[in-house]
Amino acid sequence: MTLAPLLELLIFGILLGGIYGLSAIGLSLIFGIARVLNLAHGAFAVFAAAVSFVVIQATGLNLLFVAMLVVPLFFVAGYVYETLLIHRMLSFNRERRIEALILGTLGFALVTESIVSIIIPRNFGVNYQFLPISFGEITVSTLRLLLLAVVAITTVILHFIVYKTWYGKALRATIDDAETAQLMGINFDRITSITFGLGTALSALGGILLLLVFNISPNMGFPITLKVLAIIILGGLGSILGSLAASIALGISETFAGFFLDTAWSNSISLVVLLVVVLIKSEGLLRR
Amino acid sequence: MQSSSKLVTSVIVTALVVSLVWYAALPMLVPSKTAQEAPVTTPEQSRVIKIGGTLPLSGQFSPVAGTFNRLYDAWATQINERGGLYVSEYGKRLPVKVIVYDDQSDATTATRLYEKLISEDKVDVLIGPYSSTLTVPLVAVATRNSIPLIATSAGAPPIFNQGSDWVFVGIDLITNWPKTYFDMVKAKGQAKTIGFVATDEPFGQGVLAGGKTFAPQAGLTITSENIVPVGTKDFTAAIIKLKEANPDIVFVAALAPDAATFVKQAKEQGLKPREFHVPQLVKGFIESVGVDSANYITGEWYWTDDVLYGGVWGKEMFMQAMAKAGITNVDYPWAAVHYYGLEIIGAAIERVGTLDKAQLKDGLKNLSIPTISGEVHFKSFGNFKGVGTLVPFPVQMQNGKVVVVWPSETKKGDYAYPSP
Repeated sequence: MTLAPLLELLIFGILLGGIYGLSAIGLSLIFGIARVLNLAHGAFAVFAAAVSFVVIQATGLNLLFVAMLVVPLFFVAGYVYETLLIHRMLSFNRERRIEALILGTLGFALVTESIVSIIIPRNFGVNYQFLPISFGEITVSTLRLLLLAVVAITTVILHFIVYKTWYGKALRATIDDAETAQLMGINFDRITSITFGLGTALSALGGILLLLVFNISPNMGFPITLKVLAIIILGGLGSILGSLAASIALGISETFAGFFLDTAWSNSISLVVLLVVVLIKSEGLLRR
Repeated sequence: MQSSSKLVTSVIVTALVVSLVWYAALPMLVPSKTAQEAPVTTPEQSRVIKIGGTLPLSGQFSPVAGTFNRLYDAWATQINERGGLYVSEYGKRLPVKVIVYDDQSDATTATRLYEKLISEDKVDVLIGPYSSTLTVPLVAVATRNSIPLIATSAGAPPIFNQGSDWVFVGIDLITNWPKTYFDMVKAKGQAKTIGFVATDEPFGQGVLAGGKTFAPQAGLTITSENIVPVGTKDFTAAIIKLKEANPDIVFVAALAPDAATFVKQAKEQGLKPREFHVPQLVKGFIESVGVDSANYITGEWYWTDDVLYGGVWGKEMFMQAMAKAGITNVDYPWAAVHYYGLEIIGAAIERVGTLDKAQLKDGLKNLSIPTISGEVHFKSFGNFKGVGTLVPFPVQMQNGKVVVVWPSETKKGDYAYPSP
């Protein structure tokens, strides 16, 4: 075997990981601040992809423009979702809270999936023709490079929000020590709602980007949730760069497993990673 | 006074008794108008032929076969306008009714609904769903309930090697699906190598097995074989393997949704064979990958309006049913395959002359039925039973249109290889 396919595997793994990255950062922030395992996280990604697909089909608008409309809508949806559903469950006593959050978020995911199935009862995706770029023997997808650029820009903006704004300081303080943060005057409920909005918007953007490279099926939400769960466990809860690094590590693992073992392994490698990390270092490999 | 009141009482009682007797006896004495107009009927004389099946009205297969319920309805209307199907056991024509449920492209749902069709709807015969994946578990259902199942878009070996006497299909085994394609490749004589991508479900595995048999006979060397799970979202690993193997033809043995995902990603990642081949070159596939990307991809169809066969009720009747259902062959080329199912059921009932399920099953084994794509009879060999004889012919997307490119007597365009 020549070096070219190995380099292509590496590059495509990085690009695939980048696509997972946005959803993973979103779930990481949500888990970091509220300690809520939001099982509807992937469902939001698929729902946003479905809404975007319908808008594009109906209007012929460019995907990038549609994303600029849809992502803020999902910020609002995430904020409302936390305020009306999650917030109420968080007020339950400890025993009931865990059950309620699992059943509530799972139920919400199933309802969302059913709605998507009704709106678009089949697989869906959009097509933009970009010729791949060749560097000698290596050929790389221009489309995935553009997606990686979108992910990189979004990560920089997010990094700025988290480290340079008042909200970011409040967010980090709450993730580190929620009680002390509240004593210092930070409104925990409001920060949590905003973070749910932000996390959901990131998941929505991730779903919209998936439209370009995959044909999305309405029931794809839960597999996405499992995948990003593995990523945030690997990357450490609440860590933006940790989540991104773990996403890329998972993307590379998937492409190499598919090439050297079997494509079936690339679908389940995330669960293997999840199990191994939980067994070896339950707080995550890259926790700050 | 007392006697007069007794008299009045007697008159009233007598009048009442006479009235009661009169009204009770009236229907027997004088037939009512209603009774004259509505002859006494028995359940057998008001018999309707019930055909039951499921279709993917929703779910991943809906772009391929989600409109065929309209075709079934149009066919039933045509047959009933003719007075129904003649059943000699009843000495007259009986109307037909087709009951269709939405299986949501899901095998478990389909199996449950077929049980319902048998136990609650009491259908006389079953027409199969779309795809081998959904049909495989129905073999046991039909066999256990002793009811004929006429399969449609389903020719995978696991359906017919169960040895059931109750299952029949118009099309040949899908292992023979690519035979005509490889005949064409051999005749062209330019391609030398081929790489396969196949999904791990009955259709993909059946077509792959056929491809691996016929490709060497066409002078092709197999340079790569990749089995992927059905529903795979990222084909990067398989695509890089194919880039490394660099075959002339990349043959995607998968149902339309998976084939579309593969081709979309292969083009995006720079896999450039001289030709892509997808067995299901259908509307759903073309929409998913885009018309430009689908150009010069080859595939197979079972019917076009260029074929000369008349079928059971004439080619025109099929075309009228399609028009009435609002379906075009270009958009839904698998409609013809489902129509074979209706032709087989209709011909079997009229020729065997009964609705008795066991007799229908026995009769079907020996029938030769003229469908819109040619004569069908049912083969049995080894454990295989009920296998039909129809095979598809190669088509190619050329300048945004699907064109028949083989065989020479049917083709509307020349096979373009390598793809421009």
